[in-house]
Amino acid sequence: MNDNGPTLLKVENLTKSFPGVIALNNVTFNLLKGEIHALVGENGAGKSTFIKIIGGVLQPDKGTILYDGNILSHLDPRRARSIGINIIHQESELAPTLSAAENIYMGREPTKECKWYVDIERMNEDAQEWLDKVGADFSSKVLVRDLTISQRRLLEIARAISMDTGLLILDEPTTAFTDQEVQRLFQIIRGLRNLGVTILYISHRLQEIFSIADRVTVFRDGHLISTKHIKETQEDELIRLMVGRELRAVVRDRSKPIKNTNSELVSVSKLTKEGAFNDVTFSVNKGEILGLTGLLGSGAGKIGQALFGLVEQDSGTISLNGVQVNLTSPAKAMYHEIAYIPADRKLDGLFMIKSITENISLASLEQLTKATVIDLQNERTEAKKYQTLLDIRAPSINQIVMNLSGGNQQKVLFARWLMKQAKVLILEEPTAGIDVGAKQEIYDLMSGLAQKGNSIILISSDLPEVLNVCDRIIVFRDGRIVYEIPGDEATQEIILHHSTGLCNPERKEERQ
Amino acid sequence: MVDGKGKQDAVSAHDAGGKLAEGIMHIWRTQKSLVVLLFVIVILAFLSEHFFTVYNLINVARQTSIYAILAAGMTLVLTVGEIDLSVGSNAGFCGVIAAYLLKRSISLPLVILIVLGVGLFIGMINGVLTAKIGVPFFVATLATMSALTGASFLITGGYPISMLPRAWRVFGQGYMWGIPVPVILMIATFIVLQFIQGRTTFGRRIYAVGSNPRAAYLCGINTDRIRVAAYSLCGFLAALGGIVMSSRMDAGDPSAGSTFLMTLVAAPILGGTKLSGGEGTVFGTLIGALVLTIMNNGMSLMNLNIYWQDLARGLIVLGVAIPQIERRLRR
Repeated sequence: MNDNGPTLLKVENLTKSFPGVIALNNVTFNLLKGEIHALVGENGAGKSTFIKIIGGVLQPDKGTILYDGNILSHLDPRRARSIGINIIHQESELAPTLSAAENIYMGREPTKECKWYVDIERMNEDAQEWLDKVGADFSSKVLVRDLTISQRRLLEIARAISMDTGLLILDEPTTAFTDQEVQRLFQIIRGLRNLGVTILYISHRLQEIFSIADRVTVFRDGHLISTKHIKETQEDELIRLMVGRELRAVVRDRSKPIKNTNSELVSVSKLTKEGAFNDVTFSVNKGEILGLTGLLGSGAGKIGQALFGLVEQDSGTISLNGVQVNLTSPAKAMYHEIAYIPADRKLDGLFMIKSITENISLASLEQLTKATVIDLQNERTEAKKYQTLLDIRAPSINQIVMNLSGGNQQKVLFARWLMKQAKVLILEEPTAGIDVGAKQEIYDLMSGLAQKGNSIILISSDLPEVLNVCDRIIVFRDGRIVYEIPGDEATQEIILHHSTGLCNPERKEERQ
Repeated sequence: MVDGKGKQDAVSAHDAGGKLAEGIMHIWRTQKSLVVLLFVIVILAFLSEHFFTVYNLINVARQTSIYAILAAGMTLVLTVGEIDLSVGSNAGFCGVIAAYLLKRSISLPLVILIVLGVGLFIGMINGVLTAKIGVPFFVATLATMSALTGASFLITGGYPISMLPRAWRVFGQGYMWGIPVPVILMIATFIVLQFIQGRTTFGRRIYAVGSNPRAAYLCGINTDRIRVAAYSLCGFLAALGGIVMSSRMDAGDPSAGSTFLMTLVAAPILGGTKLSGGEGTVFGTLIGALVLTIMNNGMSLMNLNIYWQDLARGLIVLGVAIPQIERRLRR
């Protein structure tokens, strides 16, 4: 590492753990004044935990943070902002019904002599100056809800620099940007650097990093792996550093013969939905685990939702056992024996204040009723059966699911669809935030279900998981299928090359 | 539940102990109102010699009946996570319609059918407005509340329609086996609703929709239909309450029911229903309604100014609601 110039931020031995995971492990990091520094790493590598600690959103377990020579402790977002650290999050944090100026000066509105009276003219004028500085093409009086995504991003940057920011942290700022908008944003970022602002830039898109950053730091599994000068590294090297991740979970046992292979259960043809996915064609066999992967917003997740009737396609068809079906609601998809476990199990999957029994049985109540009256005894027995089968650990089946661990909550969702006897399982990030032991149990469960002739569609951005569990992997980028490969031939490098859009991985592999 | 298998004996013993503790906790968590009820009764029994008389207790039950029937319907709507502000005025409107029809010599069974249908239909309108069209429930039911009150006054010209046929009095003033008919209707309502809530798929789905509408939708539940059904049932019970009310007053009074809202929300809350949806039982609501009437009754027996009752009711609701909020934050 080349440490020229004064240091703005110095982080030493930073560690942060969450139940079941060490999100940051002994990270030591150095940020120079006035540089544009990129952070890269796979999902879950620790980048966002890192910036959240610097921004005061999370408290570290141990370690020291020195900013401009001062030790920062017990930082909160408000104080971080007051000393000049500003984060622009992936999701916009603006009030849509207020004007650009009101958003810039929210909570610190300029007032007239009487402190209760906002000086609207001055606020609009001052805000306009900041907007002009970042090259915004809209008026400070316009309402945020009328701005495009890239305009909102500029507004957030204008707000940040209006607060006398020394360190600006941008988390995936170019999501949903056009190439032109990306270029303009880069000009603005370079302009900010010339004004003396230091920039920490997080992105999945390696090309972007090579065109904007001075230095780049790679995170992996909560460790800081390496910091490189951008001129002294290459895309291949960064990818190699990012994926050197070892898998502690055991690989799926593919040796056992799978029943009914090569008989198509689900097939999707030319499925298109404006802004989500485009001309997607693939099929899943009985007994197969198919992986759909890609970067955030690649369209893989939306395809899963379309197969469960949550997203209606503009054109194209979905067939089950060769018969075309019209999936317009989850109820219809369930009728066709399709099940879906959403990425956010707490928000979209579980009834947190309800018991394990009620959570498991809700999708299968018809099976448990006589003339719409629920047979409570039968319901308990059935729920117990699946609790034992999946080893859902809880003192009682009447326990409310809020009190269960993440892994056990996820098993409750699996139990729900096992009781329903679904044939096709669509799983979106099924092991996110789950500890290693429970992960393994869920992989075993998936294998077992595939053995029995079910089809599983695994939508995951966890590459080791996809590589180890899937029979076949399809890579999505910008809503299209860009690559397909059998699970046992794939490597993380190949998949990352295709999902990030860097071409010709084969040629690069030859070079190695 | 008893597990017969040998290797699970230890587990089930542990289970049983856990279940007992859980059961006690459950009673305390969900039946706080029952404890409050007993407490209030004991206090009043000491304070007033008139309280523990058969005459007074029957009186209390009868006073509770109209509120309780309406609050039972409100409980269903609260359980899906919304509020029906129009329940009281729906009841008033149904009473007026009943009186209007009776004055035109329409046969009594037909009047009952029509009025119950009208109440149900109004509930359904509320449901369609909120669930299907997407009007926020506060706006939709506030609007129907105002519209129904206006309609009641237009139909009656502002004066109660009185001098109803004698036979109509049975619902509010009659007795069966020595028990007032409204009390019997109230008990029947609660038995049926408790069964619907606890034992049927519809009841289970109401809880699911109130607890997490998106997850319910992802379980294949037609969440809109459940909401509409809850509002419709609430409207139906408003009509039943309206029938009892007009019978009891022997008139279709356009202003009847307009002051009920506070009680109709207070009774379920006291009975453990959460305004955030997904939790609560109609049984709890019955207890909550009893607590409120008994307190009013006690204050009347002690000759306290009637306005104390409103003040007390407001304080009680806050006293129950605030600890709920704290629990939510701690989660």
